[in-house]
Amino acid sequence: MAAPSTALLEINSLVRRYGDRTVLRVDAWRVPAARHSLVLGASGSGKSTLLHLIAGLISPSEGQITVSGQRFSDLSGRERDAFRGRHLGIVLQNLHLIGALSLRDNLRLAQSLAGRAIEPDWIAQLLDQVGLISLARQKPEMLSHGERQRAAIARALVNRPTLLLADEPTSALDDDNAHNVMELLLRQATLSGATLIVATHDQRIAPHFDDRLVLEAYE
Amino acid sequence: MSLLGLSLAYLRMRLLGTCLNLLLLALGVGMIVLLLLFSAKLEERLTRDASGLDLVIGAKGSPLQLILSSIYHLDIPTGNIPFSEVQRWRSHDLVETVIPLALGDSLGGFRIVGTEPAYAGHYGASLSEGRFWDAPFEAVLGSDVAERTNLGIGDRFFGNHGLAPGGPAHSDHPYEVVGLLIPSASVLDRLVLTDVDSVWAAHGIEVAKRHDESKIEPGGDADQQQEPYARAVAPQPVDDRQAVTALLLSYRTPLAAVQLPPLVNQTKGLQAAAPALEMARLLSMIGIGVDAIRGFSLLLMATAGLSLFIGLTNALQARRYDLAVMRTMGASPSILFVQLLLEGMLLAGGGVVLGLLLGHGAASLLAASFTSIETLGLSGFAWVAEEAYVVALALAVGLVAALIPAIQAYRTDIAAVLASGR
Repeated sequence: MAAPSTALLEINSLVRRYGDRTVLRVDAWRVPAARHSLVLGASGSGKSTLLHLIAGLISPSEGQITVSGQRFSDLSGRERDAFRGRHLGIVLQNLHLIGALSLRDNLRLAQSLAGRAIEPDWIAQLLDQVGLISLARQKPEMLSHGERQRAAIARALVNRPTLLLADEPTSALDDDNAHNVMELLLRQATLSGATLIVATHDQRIAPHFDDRLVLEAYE
Repeated sequence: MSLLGLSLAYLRMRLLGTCLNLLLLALGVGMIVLLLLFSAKLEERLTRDASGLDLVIGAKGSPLQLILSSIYHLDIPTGNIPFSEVQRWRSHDLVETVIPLALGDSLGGFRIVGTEPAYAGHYGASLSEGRFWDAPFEAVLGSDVAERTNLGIGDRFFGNHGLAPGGPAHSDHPYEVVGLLIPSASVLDRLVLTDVDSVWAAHGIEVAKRHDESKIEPGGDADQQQEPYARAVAPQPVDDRQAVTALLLSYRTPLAAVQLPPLVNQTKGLQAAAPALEMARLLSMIGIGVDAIRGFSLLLMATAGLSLFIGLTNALQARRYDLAVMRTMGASPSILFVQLLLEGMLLAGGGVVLGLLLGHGAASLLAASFTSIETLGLSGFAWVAEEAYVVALALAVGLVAALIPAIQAYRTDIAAVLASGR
């Protein structure tokens, strides 16, 4: 009998409530390392909440989340922040980049906050991979939406995360651009050896994933 | 990208607000620093000019006016007293020294003081050129006088009647410059010194000839003339109109401070004024103005602190999503706290540096623009210990102003901000 593959993410009996209202329930979900997964659900189904829980930004009301063998509930707040910086990359829905900094400095800041030494060559390589090396010194306000999207992906990957989370990365894009962004995410995650989890309500990107978790909206 | 770099980037991003914050704080710090420099120099100068003088005897009137006119040469004299008082108090057991001053004329606004070389000796003045006076109408110029009038050894000038520039000239009695004093940062720098005889003679009062032993040997160089005043003797009265304006006394014993002033004040036409008391009163009067300016400066600093607080609070509101994103990248709440605090302290530190430059720059500018201020010894290169308190106060203002926004940053609810999408 074959041994079960190592789970990068493991969720058991997860419940998240706001007051008396339950907004998310996941009985069990395992994501093997280097396997890309989709969290699919309508608005209000708790997709973003699930990503925030996986990232350790909020705590579950019940249940356990384990990432790379580490249970968040065993970590202090400071340890959780440090773990997040070193092991997770997050692409937010609105692609928010720090407006006061250039593209390159956004990536440098991400390394610095994760407690890593700045790697100028790696940053340049990453920006080159997403086609932004010529814009490295530009401020985010000078970039198009597509360029910001690529920059946000580069920033999420700069600390070589084991787990890359993306929240609605294609929600405001047409078919071609949605396809391109997914291609980019999958390619960069694969290049970096990261496990990718995408949360979306966008059915167009479902064919990119074999593994998926469907969330139902709570009343 | 360090937190310092990030803070500087944020400050650059809202450049106008940053500049206004810096300016407000710099103005407050600069004004207080200027005030400190000015007060310190004024007090130092007032103290130095009155140093070693225990009592001033003059005509009845305001004691403060007597001190201002006879020690600092800033006010008009209260009147004259008979020259016989010089001998009377000089022979008193409680008195160590008596220096007579005869005022009445001026040169281009600088006072001509009829006195004895002991007056220059009291301030430790030495000659840069020439010698002290040896005969009537020989004069020694203070350093500022020489510089402003461009007079040198051998030059002649006429005194003007009165103590303000432009009075009628005593054109029949020219003075000859026989000596120049080196700068002493004392009242001497602004005076023309001559003997009492010259002042009397200029006003048509008969003068006795000096005794031979009172003469200073002519022909010596400046080095040889450093202590000529020890041999000087006051002129002998031969005319009832002979009078002096004031007598500068030093006590032989501390007991004199109790006994001498009442004794002087009981004498008809005389009053005694203690420089220490009058100076304290003067400084207290000046202090009211100084306190008002200091209060205004503190208000400016408080306004700067408030402006800093508003600026950082607004920045925090505009930057809530940045902070949330930084948390997703691994920043702890403490990092966000430190970043906001650092931003406030950078502004405060910048304001302090600018304020110090402003205060010291203004001191240099004022000294260069106004001779009266320059003669105080005010300089942009001088520092006073109290400036350290100003620096500490300004940094504390920055710290307090940044503290609340920093605490708010620390408490940012990341999930709520991320969920809000902005």
